[in-house]
Amino acid sequence: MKGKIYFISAVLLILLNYGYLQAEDNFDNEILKDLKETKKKTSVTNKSPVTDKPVRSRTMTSTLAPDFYIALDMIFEGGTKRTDNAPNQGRVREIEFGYKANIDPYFFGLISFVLEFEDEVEVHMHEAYIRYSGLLPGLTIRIGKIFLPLGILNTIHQHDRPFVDSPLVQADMFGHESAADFGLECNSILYFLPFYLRLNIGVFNGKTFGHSHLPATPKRFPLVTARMETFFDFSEDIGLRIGVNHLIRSLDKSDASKYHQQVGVDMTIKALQTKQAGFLFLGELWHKKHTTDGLQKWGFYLLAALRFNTVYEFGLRYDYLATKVPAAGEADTAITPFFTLKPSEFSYLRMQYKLLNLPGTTGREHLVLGQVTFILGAHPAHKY
Amino acid sequence: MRILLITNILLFLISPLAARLRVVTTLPVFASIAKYVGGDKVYVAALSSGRKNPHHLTARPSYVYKLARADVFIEAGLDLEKGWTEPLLASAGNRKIMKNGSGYVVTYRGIKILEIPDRKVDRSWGDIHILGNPHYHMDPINGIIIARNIKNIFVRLDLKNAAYYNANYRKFLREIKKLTIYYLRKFKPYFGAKVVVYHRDWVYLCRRFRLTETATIEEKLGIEPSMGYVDKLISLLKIKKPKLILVAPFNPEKYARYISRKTGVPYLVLPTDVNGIAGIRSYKQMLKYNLDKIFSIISK
Repeated sequence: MKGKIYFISAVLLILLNYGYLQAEDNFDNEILKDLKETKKKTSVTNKSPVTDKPVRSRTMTSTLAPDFYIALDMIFEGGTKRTDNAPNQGRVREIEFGYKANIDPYFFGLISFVLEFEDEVEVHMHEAYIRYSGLLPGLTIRIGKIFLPLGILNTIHQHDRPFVDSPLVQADMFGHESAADFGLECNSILYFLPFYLRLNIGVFNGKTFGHSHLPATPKRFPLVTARMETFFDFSEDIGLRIGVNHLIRSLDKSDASKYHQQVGVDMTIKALQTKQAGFLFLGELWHKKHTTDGLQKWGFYLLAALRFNTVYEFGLRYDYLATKVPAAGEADTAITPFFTLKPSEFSYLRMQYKLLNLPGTTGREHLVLGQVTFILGAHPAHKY
Repeated sequence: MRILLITNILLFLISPLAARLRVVTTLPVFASIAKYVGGDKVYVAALSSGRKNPHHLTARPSYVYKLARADVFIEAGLDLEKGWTEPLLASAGNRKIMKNGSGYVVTYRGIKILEIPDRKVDRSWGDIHILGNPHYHMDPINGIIIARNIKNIFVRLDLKNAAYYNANYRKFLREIKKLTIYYLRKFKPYFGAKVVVYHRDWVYLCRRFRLTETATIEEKLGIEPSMGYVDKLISLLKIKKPKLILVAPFNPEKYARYISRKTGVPYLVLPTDVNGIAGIRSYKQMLKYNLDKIFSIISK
């Protein structure tokens, strides 16, 4: 009897141990199986020179489809005086449609056009360009209609800017919307230097200027832009970008001495913590002169914004614009606090107050601006 | 003469660096794995520090500078870094690391991607990843596959050191496999333990170690929850009785703290990347730290 009990106990013990060992083996087998399956896939794809094999989603009809987006920008402008600055109405400011994708192994293409709702609905090409990288290391070339690569705001679509309206200096020197033209832009990172330095040279038609839809007129020489930019990376949280800009554009079809020249400096400081709370400071200073009538203007804007997290932002902007020649007395100024609510990366709501002082024309005005913007489709880029 | 001397010294100083592959990764976790596999034959830099949410980073000009000089660029893909790597690659003008370039590595190849939407989705679901959940590095076995993908590109670009890379990869495989089996055995009595996560970056880890994700604090992906939703969640958790709430360092902690206070379920702030919290300097260290912390709670 005793022997039987010993025997059964021994069998049970062996079985239990076997079960335990089996369970241990299962982990090993499970891992081996996971690795084996993937090894098979990897060894197949390694033969392909294409390294980015897209994962096939059941919702995707084709991975070749370009990124497509629509941005709708609605604003409200109200004020104490019935001037053009505050028409006391809400309107759809613009609807932008954009497509972008790699065209082939060499080129990237982007087309964006916009419906503008001012007095009547107008359709305009915003940007349409082809981009090529790698002719030389660090060099990128764009050909087509592009926003002039100058300053901070001019390269940003109106609906993407951190405030509703354009600063006085931006509106005067480039137009309310970003200035765009057809041309060639060479953008180079001087990667062999021990610090970040980017050079950008552009040659454009220059037959119109600003966000102009007027008929083009011939000019003596093309519009030329130059920008040099550097960046100081103090820490992952804090960075400072400084840019210097120059633009020259002929104002006459035969006389080379008649030109429009613009120089500017810009600065961006971002201090964002781990949870995206932080501080943003940016500003641009511009000077322009026309040799035809001797006109000279200069101005700047400074913006300081406090970001509480990814959703809430409070900011304050100061604008200044003065005419140097002919002397026009007191300068135009504006003080603009604003509040932005950004529930997601695809929508935002903004309220803005503006104390506008235009001594030469409408005098002092109190304006209230509102903005609702949303983006459908492709994920927006997180530009610096 | 003096100029010649300085030039020579500079050339001497930079020559070992120039001989090595320059590897740039989006996340430190890939940098850690690449360093392990590449050893002293590669020079590795990560763009992100690991402390910030990889979804929300911006394209800093200093990143462009690093990418312009890179031989290899490693990213998670699946739209995780889409917002910032696209403008970076566009500005860097470096053909080697473009998406069809010889030095571009997307690390998910060969990995079974979870949570690929099986129905028509739109943005009302939040910032949804239509290609699937991109936080696959949280599963240690996926870490091995990531290492293999990285090793393959190193071998392709630097064939003379292939044996070295293969040996390092095999060592990495052995270590991570051993670690995984060790923790699987440790977790075995607690398989099925319920956990709550803030964001769905813990899916792969939970799947490997058989933890059941009871709820997500984010009501919609990438969007902070409303208090109404949080209150409903509290009611649910009182019934479901999860063991633990998991939060990444860059997630808002206040919701986990509030839920924890109301339900008594403890919460842990754990790194989802190398350097995510101070002292976590390698992938292996991150895995060990996270698994030990989780175990200490679920085993109570």
